[in-house]
Amino acid sequence: MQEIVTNLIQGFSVVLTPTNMLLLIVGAFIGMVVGIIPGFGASAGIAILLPLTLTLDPTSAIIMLAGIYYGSQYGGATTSILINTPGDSAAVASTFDGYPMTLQGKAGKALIVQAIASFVGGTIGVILIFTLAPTFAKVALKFGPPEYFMLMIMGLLTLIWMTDDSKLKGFISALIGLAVATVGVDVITGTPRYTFGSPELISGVSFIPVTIGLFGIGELLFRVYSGSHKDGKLENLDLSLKSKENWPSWKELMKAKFTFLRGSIIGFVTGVLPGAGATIASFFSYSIEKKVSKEPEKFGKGHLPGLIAPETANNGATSGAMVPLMTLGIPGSASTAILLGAFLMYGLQPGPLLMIEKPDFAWGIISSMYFGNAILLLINIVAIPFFLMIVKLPYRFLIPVIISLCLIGTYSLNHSIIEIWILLIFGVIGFFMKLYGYSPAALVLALVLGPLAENTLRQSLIMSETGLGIFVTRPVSLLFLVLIALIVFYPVFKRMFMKTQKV
Amino acid sequence: MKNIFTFFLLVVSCLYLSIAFTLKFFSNDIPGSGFFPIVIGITLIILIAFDLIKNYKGNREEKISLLHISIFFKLLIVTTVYIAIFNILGSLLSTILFMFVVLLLLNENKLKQNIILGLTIPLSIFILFEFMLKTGLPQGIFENIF
Repeated sequence: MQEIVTNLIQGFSVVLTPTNMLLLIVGAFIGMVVGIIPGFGASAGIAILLPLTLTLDPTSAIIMLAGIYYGSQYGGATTSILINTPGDSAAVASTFDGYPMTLQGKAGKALIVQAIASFVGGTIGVILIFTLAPTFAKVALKFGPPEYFMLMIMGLLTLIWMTDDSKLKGFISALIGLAVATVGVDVITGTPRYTFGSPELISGVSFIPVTIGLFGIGELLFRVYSGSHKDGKLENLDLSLKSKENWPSWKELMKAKFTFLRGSIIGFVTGVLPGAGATIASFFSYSIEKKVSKEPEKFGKGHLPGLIAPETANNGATSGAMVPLMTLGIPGSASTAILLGAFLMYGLQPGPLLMIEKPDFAWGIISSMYFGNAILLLINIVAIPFFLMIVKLPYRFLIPVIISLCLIGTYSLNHSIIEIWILLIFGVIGFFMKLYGYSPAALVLALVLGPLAENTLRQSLIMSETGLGIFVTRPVSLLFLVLIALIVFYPVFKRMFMKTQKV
Repeated sequence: MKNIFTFFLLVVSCLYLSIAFTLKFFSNDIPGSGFFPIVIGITLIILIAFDLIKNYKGNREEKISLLHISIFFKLLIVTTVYIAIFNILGSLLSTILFMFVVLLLLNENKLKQNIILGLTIPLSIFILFEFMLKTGLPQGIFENIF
């Protein structure tokens, strides 16, 4: 306990200087704005803005870059809520209930709840870093390919919970995602698959154009088909923060207190695992929340816990991903990989020795995350009336702007015209999926998890002397297997038991 | 229309599976590069065929709205052309043309407003990406001029 307090004091003393606080505010604000742009996630933001930090001292530079990193998580959900266009794949799950809230005229409330959920998720994540970072790092080290494969299977199984309307169409959507994920070079054998001789398809189909196409362009086409371009201005929408309608009630927040806690912990734990990331964390959290809820039928229709769960999780995951980076020098995601590059550029070697040799730097960065989260909460709440102006505009003005931003944002990532065509193709697919009841979310989740599942299965079998037996001989993998069996068979046994009871 | 879409998915799945059969299913006793594609392809075909049969048996009448179908297709065509000319004319010029044409289609009889928006919005987007974020957008025909 004393060590934690000492670390806290040390960390706060590093952050609470005028220069570092200013850089933190600037970094967090830039991150938030970059996160709003469709296609631009944290990794693109950090990479592009890295040169801005070259003249700063290492601690200040990393504080600013870390600010961009978690600021972008706040921004990514804004467009999810307002125009159903997630800023990155981690913000996809926020569209499920965030966008319906906008359609119900509750965009202000959705944005404020999103900001509060992000703050809580980030703060609990920082507390968990302070208290449990070394322990989690040791557990993460025990994860090998068999454990990762089991985790991917659990992730894919959450699709069962997410696709209530038509499980058959949900499975078809997921299989389409898995099929798209096979495009590219097979990592194990080096064989090109479905590349048709195109050098751009060798690295596979990026999930950014697919996600933005399905959700952003797909939704836009659906709204045009439904006649939304004929709608006039929303006259009765109150943009003011003084309006009670734009604030969640204390009762609503208290009712969701366990949602905040569950989402933050799920997010943090998932984020600690290298490669798992905020996307998986947000889907996991949403699915689990829906499963444990007493009102599961309300999910997907503008239900507050349906927005709180993924938002706390993706910000918790942002903190969690810093654990393997700081304690082991292993980046947990693309964004933390770029942060690792920045660390090395400044002559800092992340790992166990960093925490011992440069505790000021290490705890300073972690403390900056707490202050960054608090600053982002304030910025978001103050900026909400400006965001809401977007919703008030007639949709016919937003249509060309959304399309241009999606196209240019996607192009900016890899300068690939093929990715823009992929964006349009998946936009059309997304339209039909929405029209006929398929699940774009299942497709995106399968696209993200598919390559990891395939590679970890094959790596497990390569390293195994007992074939599939490796999944039962390793304790953590066996634990996951038992959990998966429970997930799959518990509903079946429950139904059989209830039938027996009735007889 | 729904059955046409489902049938289209079935055709694409069959094509996907046929290409998967050219890859190795197993290699040195471990799943090869064709393992996942073949399993996915077969499962997809079975499930989509089942869905198609379910749709026919259910015989549900689908109502397609033709009210806004014309503007829907026009928007798709304009977006396709926008992508096709993006590299050729450059991002700024192609975005200006795209914005202007779409506004003409959707914001009828407001030429002055459309011209102002068609110029200012693309310029703002261009400045954001090209100068503030330094992402390097295509200059197109202006590349050799500047």
